[in-house]
Amino acid sequence: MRGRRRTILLVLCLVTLLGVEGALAWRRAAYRAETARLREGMTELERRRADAIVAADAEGAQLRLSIAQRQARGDDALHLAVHLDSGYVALDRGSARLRVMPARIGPARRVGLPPDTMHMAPPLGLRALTTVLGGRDSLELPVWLWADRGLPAPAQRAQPGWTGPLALVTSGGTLLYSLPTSGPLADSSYVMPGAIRLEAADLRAIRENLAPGMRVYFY
Amino acid sequence: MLAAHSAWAVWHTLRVRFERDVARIVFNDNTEALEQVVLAAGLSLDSLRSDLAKAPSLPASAPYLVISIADRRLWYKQGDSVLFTAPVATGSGKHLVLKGANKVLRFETPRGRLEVQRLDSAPAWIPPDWHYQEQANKRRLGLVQLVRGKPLVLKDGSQITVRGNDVVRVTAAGEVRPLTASDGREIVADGRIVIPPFGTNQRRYRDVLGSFRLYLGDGYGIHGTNNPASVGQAVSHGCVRMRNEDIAYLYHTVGLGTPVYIY
Repeated sequence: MRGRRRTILLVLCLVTLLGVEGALAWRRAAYRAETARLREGMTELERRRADAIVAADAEGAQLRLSIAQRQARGDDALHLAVHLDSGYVALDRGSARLRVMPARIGPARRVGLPPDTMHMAPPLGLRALTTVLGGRDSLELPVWLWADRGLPAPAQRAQPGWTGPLALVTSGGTLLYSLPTSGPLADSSYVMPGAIRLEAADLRAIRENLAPGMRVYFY
Repeated sequence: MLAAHSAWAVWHTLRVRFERDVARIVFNDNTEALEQVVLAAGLSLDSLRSDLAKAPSLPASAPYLVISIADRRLWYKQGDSVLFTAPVATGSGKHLVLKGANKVLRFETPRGRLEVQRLDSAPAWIPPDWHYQEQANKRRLGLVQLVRGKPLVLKDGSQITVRGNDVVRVTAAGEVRPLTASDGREIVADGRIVIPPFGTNQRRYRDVLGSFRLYLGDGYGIHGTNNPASVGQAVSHGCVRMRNEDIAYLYHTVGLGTPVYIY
């Protein structure tokens, strides 16, 4: 019975993903068709101008990434480097890699209930560690988190341990947490949008090295 | 894999939408929006390129040692590659109150960046004074410091004194016998542990640090052991202890000046 339920769940997930992929492919086709139609009506100069903007955007993103990577690798103080694409956080010092910690990166998406919505995504660039939270500390979690999980928001949105045995908060409010045993984040299949989830054992292993002000690079 | 592909599909769709948006703005000759897009897209690329030029270039990849106190493990690495890894013993974290000095010693492995300053073969351990106090506390004995030129007169009429580089016992009959000392088997006389002076053979323990040592400064080092069962535990006075075969590999491989990162 349990196995059957799991199979059904898996099939549902696959169907949903395929549906999303299909919808995205359809959107891309529509965008491309519109772009082609607009370009037909442009002069050669306008076309070159549009191409230059698109190319500059791609190059700018690549340059920003390279700058962040170089700054992190050149930082001789102990720091954290969050590799969003590769899904890990490293404890680095200069070019030395002290520890690599697998991480689950929270998705980038619009959260909240209309009209009060916002786009949540992990940041890019340099941040600083502001708070180190233990299992007995509490952090007020955003009200949209309950909506995102399909739960009613409680009056009290901060309880000890809701961000796991250890958690970090950076400037700008990005949360790096471990899986808690209670609260809205106590679900191994869910990662808070815009946040990073690490293994508690990894956070414990580096705990003594963490202090407010420590630099955290996201790239 | 499907989730990764979906993420790529979202990113790719956003990219295609951005191209459409740019085409729309250029086609409609929307000057205000165009300026904003140009700025956001980084047609200020010159400043980004200049920032990149100012950012430090990636340093050459020299090998280094990493020690995790929590995992009690050492890695010898180059870049992201692990060349060698082995378990270690680290500081016990215990305290020792130094009598008379109003000072507390904490036996911890220091965190931070150290460097291999010296490579020692068959290193001897010169126990510091606190070692004798620790032994005296453990065995509920007193403590007495032996000073060159000042013999200790014992209850049986014999004396403990220094002759050359040896701590010796001189009996009442004038017979001279060198004493032996090792870790946990210190010289005990009249219920007190005798602290031999520096420079005597009785203040050099030859087997404690194993076959090799990488000296890191400030009295700390990575060394072998005569107690391999202790490796993997938090039992040392702050040094990093390894099995003799592991420290032998490092001794023959690691160069002077190699950075050691302890976290």
